[in-house]
Amino acid sequence: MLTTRPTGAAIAALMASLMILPASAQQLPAELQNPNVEIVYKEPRTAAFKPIAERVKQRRVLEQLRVFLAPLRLPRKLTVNVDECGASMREYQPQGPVIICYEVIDQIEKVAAKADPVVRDRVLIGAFVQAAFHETAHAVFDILQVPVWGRANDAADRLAAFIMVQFGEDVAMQTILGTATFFRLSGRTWTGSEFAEVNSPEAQRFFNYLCIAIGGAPKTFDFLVNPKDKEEQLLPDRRAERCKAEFEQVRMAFNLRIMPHVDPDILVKVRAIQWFVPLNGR
Amino acid sequence: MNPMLRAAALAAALAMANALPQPAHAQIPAELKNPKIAIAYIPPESAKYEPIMQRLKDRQLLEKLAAFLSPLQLPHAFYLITRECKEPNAFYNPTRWRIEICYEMIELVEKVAPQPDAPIDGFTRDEVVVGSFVGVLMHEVGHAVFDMFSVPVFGREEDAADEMAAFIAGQFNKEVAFTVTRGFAYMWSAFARFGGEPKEWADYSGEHGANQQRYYNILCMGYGGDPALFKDFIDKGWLPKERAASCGAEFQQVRQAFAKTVLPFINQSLIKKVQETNWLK
Repeated sequence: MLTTRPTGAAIAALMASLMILPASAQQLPAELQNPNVEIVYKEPRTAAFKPIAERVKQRRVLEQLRVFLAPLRLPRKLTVNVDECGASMREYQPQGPVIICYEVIDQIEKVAAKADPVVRDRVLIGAFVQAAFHETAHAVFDILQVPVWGRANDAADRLAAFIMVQFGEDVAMQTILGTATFFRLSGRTWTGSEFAEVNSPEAQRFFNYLCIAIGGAPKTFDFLVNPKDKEEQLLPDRRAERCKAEFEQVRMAFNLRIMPHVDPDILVKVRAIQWFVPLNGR
Repeated sequence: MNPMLRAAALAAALAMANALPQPAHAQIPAELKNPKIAIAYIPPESAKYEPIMQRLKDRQLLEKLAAFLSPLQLPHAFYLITRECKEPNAFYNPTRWRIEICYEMIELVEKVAPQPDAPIDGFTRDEVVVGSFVGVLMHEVGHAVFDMFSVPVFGREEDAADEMAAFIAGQFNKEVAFTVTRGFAYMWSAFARFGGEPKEWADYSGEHGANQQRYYNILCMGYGGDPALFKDFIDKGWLPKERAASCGAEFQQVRQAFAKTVLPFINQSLIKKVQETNWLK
């Protein structure tokens, strides 16, 4: 089991956050590979990103993502890069590689620094996994020619959220709540023609993630709707009552359009991995 | 399907000329029949909606909508009704397999539309009333189709239903595409103006996008499907260039989703007939 518990410093927390596997990185199950997933750590041009590049490489985050993607039978190569994008983000391009931007990791780190230290590492883990899953979802839609109704970015979010709740309570809590807190702390307000953007406002994404979470794991996430202190209700009743159906809709879509490309035996092995360090000794 | 809508649009103007004979309306092609579809105009409780129901009946709204939808190879019964709802809306009710069009919604559409002879930004009352009504109707058709055919919907269903509306608008002649896309977009811009921008965090918690987003999404679908027809959206600065750049791809995404998940349920010879019919006349 991983013993490192991040202490205050954001950098230390980030390092821990990227240490997703409980086992040390060299213990990644060797048989869980995917010959069609290629991973590349690109060197950042900007000096400020070099420490981030070092950390993600050292923590073997892409190797972990590749293990995670082992069950997926892909008709062609899927390349995942960590790279400098030259912008705060970059939309996935058809046929293109999945790119996790250094800028995005940098942003996650900055937002996490604003978080209460108690949840800081959760924000780092959750938001990083969110970014990786979201970008990968776009590529999966593209490579498998999945029909996508609704805005592509929301579809990628819903698929990411759906996946997050398939690996037990600890993974679900860390990734969903980390993601939600990340959006909550993003601090952006939307106005005017910003509403024309292809991505959705952080607040919308916040509720979308929470909705899929409570729809898929109602007991685990009951506190979102029924907290001890009613003031702390994170998901309003009006939305919450639809979340079971929203989750079922994504599940049905997943089963129809993606599950046929998943090797069920390998999936079991991936699900059996204990992916996250239980925090706070839980 | 919305010809009566047009009628509704013109109702005020025509009221004074009530004695005039009704203009000829699109004939419903006889072969556009689907025995699984049933219709009903439910009398309103409030007397003030009687005239709206009467207009819809006179214009054969539901008969036309049923004919329009007749190519759907339905797994079970499907009902189309008009009724008083106590709110200005339209619904697809999945437990009853029915689309419910509220008299209040028609009232609202007429309210937000520009006044007769006083177009706003080049939008005429007629096109806004007809276009927004058809847009709303096709949005509900989207929900119905997603449910009845168990269509996989990865994104948010409300956006998907808007995409369906905008996509259907583009499957006829340019006049239909023009009227419905513009009218529907105008409606969202009007709602956005009346309602203002979302302010609080919780304002974003609903399953619907903000009216502002829905406005841009409709512009984007229209422009993505026919950039020449909707060049205006760019020239007038309504659709920002950054978004416009992705609208072609967004439209293709919807076109492919439609082709894979809905088209197989459509009777091809009947849909040809539907496309040849001029529904807005």
